[in-house]
Amino acid sequence: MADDSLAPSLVGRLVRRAASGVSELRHTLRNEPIKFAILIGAAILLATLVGWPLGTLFWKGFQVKGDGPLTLDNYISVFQEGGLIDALENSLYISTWTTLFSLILAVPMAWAVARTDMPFKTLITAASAATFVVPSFIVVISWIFLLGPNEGGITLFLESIGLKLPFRIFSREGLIFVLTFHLYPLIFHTLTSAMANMDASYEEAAGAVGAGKLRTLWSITLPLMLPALVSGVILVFLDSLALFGAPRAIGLSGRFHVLTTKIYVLFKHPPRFELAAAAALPLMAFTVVALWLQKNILGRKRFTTVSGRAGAVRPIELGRWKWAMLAFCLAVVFVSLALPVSTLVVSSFLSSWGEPISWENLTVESYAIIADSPDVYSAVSNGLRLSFSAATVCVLLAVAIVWLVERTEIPGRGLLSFLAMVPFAFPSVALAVGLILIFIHPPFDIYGTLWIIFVGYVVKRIAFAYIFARNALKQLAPEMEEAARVLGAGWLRTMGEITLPLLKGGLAAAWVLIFSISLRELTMSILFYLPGTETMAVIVFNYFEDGTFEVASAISVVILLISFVSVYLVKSIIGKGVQEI
Amino acid sequence: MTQAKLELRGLSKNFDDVTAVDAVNLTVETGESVVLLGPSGCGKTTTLRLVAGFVRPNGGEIFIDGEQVASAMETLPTEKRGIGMVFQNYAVWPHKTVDANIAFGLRIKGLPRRDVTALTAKALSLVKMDGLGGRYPSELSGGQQQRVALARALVVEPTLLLLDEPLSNLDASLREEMRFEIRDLQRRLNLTMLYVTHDQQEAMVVADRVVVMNSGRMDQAAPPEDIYRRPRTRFVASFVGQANLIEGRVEKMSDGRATIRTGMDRTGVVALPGGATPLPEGAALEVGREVGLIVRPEDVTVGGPGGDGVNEFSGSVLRRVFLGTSYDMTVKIGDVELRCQAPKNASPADNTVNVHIPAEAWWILEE
Repeated sequence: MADDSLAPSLVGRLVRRAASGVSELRHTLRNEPIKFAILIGAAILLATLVGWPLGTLFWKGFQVKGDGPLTLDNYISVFQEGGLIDALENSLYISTWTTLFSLILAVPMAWAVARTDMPFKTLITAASAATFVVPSFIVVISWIFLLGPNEGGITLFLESIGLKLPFRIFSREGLIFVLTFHLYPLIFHTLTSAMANMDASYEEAAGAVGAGKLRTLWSITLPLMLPALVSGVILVFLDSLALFGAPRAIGLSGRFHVLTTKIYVLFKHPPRFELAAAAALPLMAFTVVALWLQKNILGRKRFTTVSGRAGAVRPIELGRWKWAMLAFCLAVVFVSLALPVSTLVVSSFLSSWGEPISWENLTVESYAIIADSPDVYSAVSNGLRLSFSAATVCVLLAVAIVWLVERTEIPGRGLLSFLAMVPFAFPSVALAVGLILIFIHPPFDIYGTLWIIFVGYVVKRIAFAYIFARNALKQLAPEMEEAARVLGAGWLRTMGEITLPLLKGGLAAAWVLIFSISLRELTMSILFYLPGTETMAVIVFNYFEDGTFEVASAISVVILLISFVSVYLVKSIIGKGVQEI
Repeated sequence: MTQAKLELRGLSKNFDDVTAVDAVNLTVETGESVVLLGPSGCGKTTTLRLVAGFVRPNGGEIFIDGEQVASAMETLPTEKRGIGMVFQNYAVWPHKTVDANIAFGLRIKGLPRRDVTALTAKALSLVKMDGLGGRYPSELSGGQQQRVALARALVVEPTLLLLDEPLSNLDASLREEMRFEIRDLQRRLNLTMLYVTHDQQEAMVVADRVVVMNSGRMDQAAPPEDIYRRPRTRFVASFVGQANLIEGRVEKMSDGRATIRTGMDRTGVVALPGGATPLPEGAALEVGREVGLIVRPEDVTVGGPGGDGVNEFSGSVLRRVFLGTSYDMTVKIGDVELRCQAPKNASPADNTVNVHIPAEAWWILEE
């Protein structure tokens, strides 16, 4: 009985809701044409930039041979022909081991930082956050400098005392090593924030019935942390699948491909975009599965451990073990951040890569080269223009979409929200393939211009702007806007004089974040660039592939400086924004 | 300022399956102050937001000064309605100074700068905030912020002023003070005002007419005194003030009085003012009819010398609480538990008391 009556009333409600949305739409078109044009224009832009390429990519990925029959055999044969099977296998091997090793580093560190009386916790947290600011294609330069087979600093040192590295840097294992120390912060940070919010009484209860520290950790803390742990694992797995910079640098000399580097080759020598679409499909599939897992498995199994007593947690006393724990954490931070960054700085001052480090070999020649190079100049100018416009467009587009989603009843809001968020999870290479399938044909044939790189940046980063803008708008009482409307201000004027100024903090943070990330973006830039549209990251990469490591290092140092300054800016803006609101 | 008349005709609004406002008919005359009173979820705020134009109706019409501003088919955007509004959370813009907040509406109107400055200063002094124009809202108290909001709404000379629970975020003493001030302003400026609150005392102070709303409908629209003394429904009677609800049946009618059989130990005699009955037209009060009655606790006399025996009951005390100025007592008379208020020096300590309910203290409900 209940089920019988439920269905029609649900349908009726949906119909009524849609009808009321359509009526609002019609009403807006008639009375507020400017608002209508801006909001609907933003929605169409978002659908064009995100929905169309992603939809096309899914569709084309299954039709690899154009007119060929849509069968699995056909698909597998195409995969084998292009060497895609090997790439897929390598990708999975590398991501699986990277995830496992990241767990081994991150779980003890997170526990020590969130739960124990180990000293220097802030330093460890800050350093592992900073690790993530250094892009993988820059870290990898340092590691090749240190672990390279013939003239690597550590390799030579080990040889001099009769030892050998347990792995070669130019191999899948070498890549796993680099990626592990690059990506472990993702698990570390999801875990520490979850542990910091956990109600300590669960642990105290275990202690009260006589469980030791390890026993408590194993049977109480870890199971409670499972959702956060799974989130972190998914993040690391997806990111290691999606990365392009480090795999390309190592795979080039190591003579192996992963999916992303394979797609790169299919873009360039010679372009075979249909095959690239097929190669992107496994990446898409993993992303979709991961999103589904996160939503369904974790959504249902969420443990409520936030009690509001977070501040009252008493740290676990480690005794003398805390120094061992600290040594472990410092070692990880040293290997993941201090060593590669300092190596990079030193190598940027070397007159020649591979020479011993001494005063005679130090020079600012590399910096002079980049200061004089018209290529570098043009790359910096391209990068600044691209990042500036991408950040601006992302923020403006996000504000319009967020306002539409949060403040109106126009139908299709859920879809818009989905479109704005989904590029966040998809690998840049996959998005790039989707974009090229659309934007190489008329009427949008912009391939080879800065425009396609710009579109790529916007698509990849719209989610950042969307999240920041949404959080800011949710904190803004609708009455602030209504008060202006009552006083005679139209929608546009209200947005300009009330809404945007009040969202300023959140939007500025999103802008700086997108600007700085775009400035060092490699994947989209290198897939889309043609001579004349290089960006800074592309230049680093080209110098690196030419073997001019010193200059590549010098530009990397400049990029790092810009990155750290922007992160500092974002932090201070967010800090101030919080006080203002 | 020229003030407008507001008319709501059959106004309705649904949210999904919930009817928030149900065929409301209401006219607010020029210069009249009408308060929409009711518990949360009764539709009073939705009604106000319909008038403001933030919500579009599913049915019915709204007229401001005879001009239709909203119907199910067509609605005039908020900014073209010429209204002023004060919000519960003040909605004073934190990034603008007090002066800039107040001047906003004048700037939108395109007034010359000199006029804007002069009018802003005048509005500030109207709400007793002289000299604070340079402050930012974060430097003001809640009460001061609400004064700014009031000045901001009044400075543009709206034809109609809407207030949505304007005082409920203030503390009790300030709330009381502001009630009188708003009422005073409304009278001085002869404002047409629609005011939403859930606080009955606030409604009594501010209103020329109180509209009690219940599940989207108007239960009664009447001056404050009538709402209290002559409630139309059980809901109005119990929502405004305290009331004993007693069910009964008419036994006899004569000389503008009705004798009613209730659950008490004897019948009660009820005065029918002017010989009239409050029942809906066409439904005469007649012998044998079931009616609902109310008696206010303060109208009951406890103890004391007996009168002529009419309307005197005797009952046992169930509960007696000392409240300072009086005793709050519950007396069981027959099947009826009667709440009454006894003066602090006139409350017998006995378990059995006599109570007297004057014929004028009974009120027969319409439904």
